[in-house]
Formats: sequence, C-alpha cells, structure tokens
Amino acid sequence: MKRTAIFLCFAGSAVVGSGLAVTYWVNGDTAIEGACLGASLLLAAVGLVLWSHHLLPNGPYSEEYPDFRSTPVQEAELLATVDRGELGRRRLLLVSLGAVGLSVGAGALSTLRSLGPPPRTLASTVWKYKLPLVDSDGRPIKVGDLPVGAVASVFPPGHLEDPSVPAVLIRLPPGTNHPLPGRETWAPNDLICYSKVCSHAGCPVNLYDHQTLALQCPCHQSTFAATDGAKPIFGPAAGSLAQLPLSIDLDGTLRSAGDFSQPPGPVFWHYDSHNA
Amino acid sequence: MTGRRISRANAALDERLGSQKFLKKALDHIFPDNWSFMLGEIAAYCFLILVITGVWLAFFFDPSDSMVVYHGPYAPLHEQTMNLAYQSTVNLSLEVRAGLLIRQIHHWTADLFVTAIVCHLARIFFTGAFRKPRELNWVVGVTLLLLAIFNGFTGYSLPGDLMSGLGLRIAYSIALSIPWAGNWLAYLFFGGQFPSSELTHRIFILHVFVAPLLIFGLLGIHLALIWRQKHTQFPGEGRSERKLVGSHLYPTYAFRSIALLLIVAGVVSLLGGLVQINPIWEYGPYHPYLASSFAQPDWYTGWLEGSLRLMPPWRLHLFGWTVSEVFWPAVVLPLGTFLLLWIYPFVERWWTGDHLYHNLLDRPRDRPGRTALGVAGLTFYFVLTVAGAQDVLGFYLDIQQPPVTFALRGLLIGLPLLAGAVTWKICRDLAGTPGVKVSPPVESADKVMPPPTRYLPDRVAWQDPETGIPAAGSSAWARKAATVGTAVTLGALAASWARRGRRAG
Repeated sequence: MKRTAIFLCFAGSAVVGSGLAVTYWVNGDTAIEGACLGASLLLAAVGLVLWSHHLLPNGPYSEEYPDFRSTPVQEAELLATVDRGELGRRRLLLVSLGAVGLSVGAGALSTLRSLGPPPRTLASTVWKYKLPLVDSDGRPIKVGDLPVGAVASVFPPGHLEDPSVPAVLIRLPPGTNHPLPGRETWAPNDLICYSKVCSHAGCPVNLYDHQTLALQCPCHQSTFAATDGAKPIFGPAAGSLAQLPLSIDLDGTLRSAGDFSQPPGPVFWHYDSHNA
Repeated sequence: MTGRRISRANAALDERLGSQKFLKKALDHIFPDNWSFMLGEIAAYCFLILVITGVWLAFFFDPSDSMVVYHGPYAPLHEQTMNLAYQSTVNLSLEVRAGLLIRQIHHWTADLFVTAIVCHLARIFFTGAFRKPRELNWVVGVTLLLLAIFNGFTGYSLPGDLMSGLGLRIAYSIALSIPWAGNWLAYLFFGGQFPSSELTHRIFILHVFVAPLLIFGLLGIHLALIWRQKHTQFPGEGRSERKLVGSHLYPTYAFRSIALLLIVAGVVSLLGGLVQINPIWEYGPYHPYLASSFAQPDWYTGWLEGSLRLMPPWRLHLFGWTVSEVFWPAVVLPLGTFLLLWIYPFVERWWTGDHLYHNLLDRPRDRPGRTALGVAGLTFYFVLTVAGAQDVLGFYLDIQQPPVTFALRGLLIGLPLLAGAVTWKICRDLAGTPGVKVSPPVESADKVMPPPTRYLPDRVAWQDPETGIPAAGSSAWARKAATVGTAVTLGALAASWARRGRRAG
C-alpha cells in the first residue's frame, strides 16, 4: 500500500517533469515550465518523505557526544611539541620576520589605491554664470514654457548623466516666494530652481505638491518648502536643497546666474569647510 | 549483484585511502528528530540553487556600464539609452528561452535564502544552541547572514534598472557619510564618483566570485563544526548531555535531506514560474535624474530603508567637520546590530556565569529573559522593516505621512518593550509546566555537567519520572501559541515579499 503510494509519486513526478522539456522545445512558456518543474520536484519529495518514514529504519538510536577535553598528560605533550626548536628565544629573528610581514602587507594594501581616482572636489559643479537651462531632450527652456504650478527637470547643456547637476525648476504662484537674505534676485518671474539631488541620501527629488508648494524625495520622504529656500519641513533630511540662481535673457531664455548656493546632495566630512 | 560491485569499488578506494572506516562512521552519524533542525539545511540548499542558477545567468549577463541605445524587440524601451548590463538583463528575460524562469528562480531563492538563515538564527537563539561548546559556530553563522545580505544587495544592484541604480545611489551616499575617510572610501569602492564606468563590473566580481567564495568557505566550516560537535537536541526520553538520540544519516536522513532539497527547489521553481519578481523592463534603465515612487528593496534590506526613513534629521557639526544624518541609521545601526549578534554568546556566558557544556537545548519558556530579549529584538527589526514602506502604508491607510512616521517612531521604541514584557510574563507563567519528559541527571557522567541552576527560575525543576506530573492543558495551549506565532511570522515574511515596487515617475 505504502509502496504503491510512493511509486505513484515517483511516476507522477516523472510524467510531470517531462513537461519541462516538452514546454521548453514547444514554446518556452515561463509559467508552464515553472509549474512542471516545481510540481515534479515536489511530487518526488513527497515520495522520498513517505519512503523515509514508512520503509526505512527510524530511531530512537543513540550515540555518545564526544568529550573534547584533553587530559593533563596530553596537554603537556602538546606543550613539549610546541616548544620544539625553541622559537620563543629568537626574539630578534621573530621581530625582523614581523617587520617583513608588516612592510609587505602595507605594500600589498596600498595597491588598493588603484581602485579609484583621487576624490574630485564635491564643493562645486559644472553650473556657472550664464549657462542656459535645458530639458532632458537638450532644448533650452524659455520663460514662457512654464505656466504657474508647472515643474521641469533642467540640466546644463551636455551634462544629462552627471549625477551632481540635475535641478528642478518650479513656477511658484506669484508672491508666494520668501527668498532667503541675499537671494532676492535669484527667482525672476517666480521661477525658482533647486538641486534635484536630495540632501539626505542623494535620490532625485521628483515629487511636487501644488497645494503645499513642497518638494518631496520618493526614496525616504524628505520634504522641502519650495517657497522658503527648500528648507526641510518633514522627513529625515537635515539640510536644505541647494538653490541655483537664475537670470532671464532679453529673448526669454532662462540662464543660471552662477553655481549652486552650496554643494548639492548629501553632506560629507568636509562639507562645512566648503560651505563657509 | 549491486552490493558486490559497490564493495569492489569500495575495496579499491579503501586500499588507497582507508575510506571504509570513515564511510561507516559517516553513514552511522545520528541526527536528532526535530523539524526546526531543517531550517539551516534549507539555507544551504538555497545556496546550492543560487550557484547553479547564477552560473546559468552569468552566461548571458554582460556586466558593463557602456551605454547603448536599445533596438531590441521590447517596444516600450525603443531608442532609450541604457547600459549593457540592463540591455543584457532585458534580453535574457524576454528573449532567451527559459531565461526569465531561471532569473526569477534565482531572485526568489535569494529571498528565501536570507529568510531561512534568519529563521535558523532565531531557532538557535531561542533554544540556546549557541552555548558552549558552539559559540564559534554562532559567530560563523552570523557572518554568513551578513554575507547573504551583502550578496543579495549586490545582486539587486547588477541589472542597471532604475531600482538598482537608486539603491546604489543611496549606498554611495552612505559610504560618503563615514567620518574622515568617507570620500576616499566611496571613491575607491565605487571606482570614482557615482555612477562610475567601473561600478557594474566591480559589483559583478563581488557578487559572483568574492562573496560566494566566502559563503562557500564559511559554510564548509559551519558544517564541519556541526559534524565534529554533533547536533544539539531537545530534552526527552533517553536523551542527556552525553547521549544523542535520533535516526541514522543513512538511509533515513539522507532520504529526508534530499527530499528537503527537492521541496526547496520545487517551491522556488513554482514561484519562479508563476509569481513575477523584479520585472526590470517595467522599471526602465537608471538615469541620475529619474526616481520612482513606492520603491521597495528586497525584504532583507527593508530594515535599513526603514531606519533611514524614521531617523530624525540629526546632522552634527564638529569643529568645522560635518557628520551626515545618514551615518547613524545606515552605518552605526547595522554595525551595532552585527556586533551585538557576534558577541551575544559571550555576553550571555558572562552574564549567567554558565561555563558548562550544553548539548540539551532550552525550551524558550524556561529562559524568560533571553526569550524576551529575542522577541523584543525581532519586534524592533520588524517595525523597521514595516517603516521601510511607510509611504505605501500611509497611502493604503489614507493617512498623511507625518502621523505615520511619528507613530512608527513611537512603535519602534514602545512595541519591543511591550512585546518583551509580555513574552517574559508568558514564559514565567509557562515555565515549570511539564511539557516534555526529561531524564533526571542520574548517570554518573551527567553529574560532572549538571544543568546550571544559577539562573533558572526557581519554578523549573527536573521532572520526576516516577510521579510524572500530569501534563496540564496549559502545555497544549503553549503548543498552540507557538504554532500561531510561527504562522504569524511566516505570514509577515510572505507579506513583506509581496511588497514590490511600482513605477511612477
């Protein structure tokens, strides 16, 4: 009876299992392949479990745990062996051998330096005075392109994939901007521009709430007030987003009026010295 | 007939290696009968499946950051710029026959791998299996957990899709936050400023060579130590600190173990075939200016995601230097977590003054302090994992994010304390309930290693086999509670698997 059940499991497993090969050659449907393989393996497993429980010897059998402790005599013998050659007396030789290890080890470790270039300064980006703001297709942005409430991702020309430069351009409702001291001229026509790199962990800040006029990072929900120099108002970020000063040409083209107000993105050890 | 053939082959080997004695001893090895001793085995079989499917995938994957423009058959990606890693992953998923099946089996197995290790670790912890003489194997096991999580993250980071790029961007910021050396460490590890042209290739070497090799070596040490020290066992009839009771390796446990391998392989095959995971062609390639809402990492990094989200914005300005707010939740917390895990056996040994050998396991209820600590710890990391999806939670509960975050911060402190206190109380009330028959330490050999009494609650006593205190209904109740607890844990893990990212943006 048990043997019949086990036999049926194995037979069923073999039949279902052949479905994998058939499916693979016929049309390669992922779902059918997975179902055949999985069902076949599970059926075989049921057969093996039944076999082990009903037709194989089951305990209780017992054996002794080993006792690892050595006798004092064995310990003394080991000590005698370790003392062979009296290595401990050759102080000078041991120290100089240690020096070899240290010097070669230090040399080997220092080759890790090849893994990367020397860190570039994080203090500045390629944004500078009079660069046009372009969108992700490289088209320059004009002042009339953004109605009130609109948002756009902007870049310096030719630097789409540079991780430190993406910025978000927002047209605030008129009169809502509260510029920080010294940034009164940075947002002409209520167009205001902040770094898109979150000051928390560096994700792109790409959510904008039209009601609260707040920018939010989708990774960890750091939220910044677009009207108040992008100061953090909720979430784990401790610092503002960097702001990009803007100017408008006579033909309406938007241009940067300099680099970001501070290094964009997450802070680092030397951040304060760059930001002083 | 077969017997003679085997014995002839064996004789030939034996004359050259003396293998017969070893084989006899190995096949006679005894394993204790308890389902919870299979959890580690599940992890080991997951590793085997990961290696096999991983080698298969490596034939088709191109670990390169060279940028290409897509012209393949998947229309939504037409004309998009992407790296070769992403293109080759899309191709192996959508064009290579059985490619998607193998890739999804690989991903599901990685999730199951870490799950099995965590369950195994919890079993070892709650039953005190890490005590002398097995502290070293605990340290090896915790290191394996660390490597498994690392290898899972590097695997998630390889395909060059939007999710993997965002994960790497966060990892880069975390490296940058390390005081004094952060800038250099980030540049050396990532091969320059993120995203560098070296990055995918470097992660590939770590993912397919360095980490698996370390896991393989440590797994060997892990198993060798178990082989040498033998399994622990729960107390029971005929069992003692000196005597291991169970069934033989051959044939009984060999069959069960192979059956377990087939079950693990069968389950991940069903998942890989029928349940979609990480559909990278829907996420699109990574670009530094793109992000996605409701992005979730694999479940085993969810606790780090949660700690990043819940941490208050504490930025430190020290004598002109800055310590980033991500340093505490993303560097200090994981380092502290693994440090505490590594040293726990030694801390408990020092705390209890228990320097005896232990081959018999504790029932969790008999050690209320340790059990409460473990439950509190698991609760802490569970809340963090939930917090990793705090925006999704707020969306589905229709609550604003600030209240969700503040509630989760409160729960992170309060819930572990509450869970620990309740656990402690339940254990105290259950301790002393006669659940299983325990042999009293009558053999002379046991007298040199009596059970430690110093920190046992005074209600726990060795059960007298003569009087045989009747097993009250409470022990059945306890078994039920344990079963419900296991089911809830497994349900929670399944739910966390189900949280997949949705693309928006």
